[in-house]
Amino acid sequence: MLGNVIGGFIVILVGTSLMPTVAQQVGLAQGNENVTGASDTLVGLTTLFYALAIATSAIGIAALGLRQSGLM
Amino acid sequence: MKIHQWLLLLVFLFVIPLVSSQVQTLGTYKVGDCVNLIQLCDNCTYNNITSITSNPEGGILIKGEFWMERNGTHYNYTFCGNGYAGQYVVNGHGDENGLDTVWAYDYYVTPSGYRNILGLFIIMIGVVYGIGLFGFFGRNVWVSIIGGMLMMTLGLFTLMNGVDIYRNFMTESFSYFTIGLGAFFAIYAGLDLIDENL
Repeated sequence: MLGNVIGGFIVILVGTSLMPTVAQQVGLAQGNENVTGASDTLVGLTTLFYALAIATSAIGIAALGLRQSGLM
Repeated sequence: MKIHQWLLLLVFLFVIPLVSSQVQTLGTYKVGDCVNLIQLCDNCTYNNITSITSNPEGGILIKGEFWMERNGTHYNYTFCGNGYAGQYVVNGHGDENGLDTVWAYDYYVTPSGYRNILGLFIIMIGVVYGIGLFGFFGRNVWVSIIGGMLMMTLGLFTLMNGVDIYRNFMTESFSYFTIGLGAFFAIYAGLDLIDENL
């Protein structure tokens, strides 16, 4: 349990710290004239993928905690 | 041929590259940045740029007589047409010691502004992919998520800066692949964690 809590905490901490940088780089990449069309859409989705990864980590650790405490 | 003739030939072979290597390097710059093309001459009255060529793309970018701004012994011309990655050769002439003298030098333009960092890229790609693959196939949820996140940032970085001096279709494809694989590793591992505990 403790290992999962620490692991989840580190992942969420690192993820949220890097999130503004990722969003900024995505904005810069979309401003690049070489990135157009489908590539532009895919690059735009990177922020969403990144946020989803953090969100699933948070939900996963919450579910794990609830299960191990017998609430779920 | 006698031995001393062979030695003479050997000396010539060593001297010729020294004499003919007049092209010097100004440095490495980032694509799209303006570059101050400088020339130093203590007894010139003028220095002009006659042409700038870009290799492998671009060809002859400017051709003619382009006056360099003088400040003492320092001559400067600001050039902003650095839209292609590669080697740029600057040719010009000035009246050194009253004689019209031609000069040439080159500089490099890369997507990141750095050159010869392919080793760093290989290590970085190896480490990031290693973490992602180890986490995913080793069934370690947290390493898989953090590896996936790292792969997404690596993909963005290579998309913006290319790989070393290269930014082409292949490096862009690699970037999108890395972003996609990283997203898959991270989200799949997260969903797997939720799924296991519901």
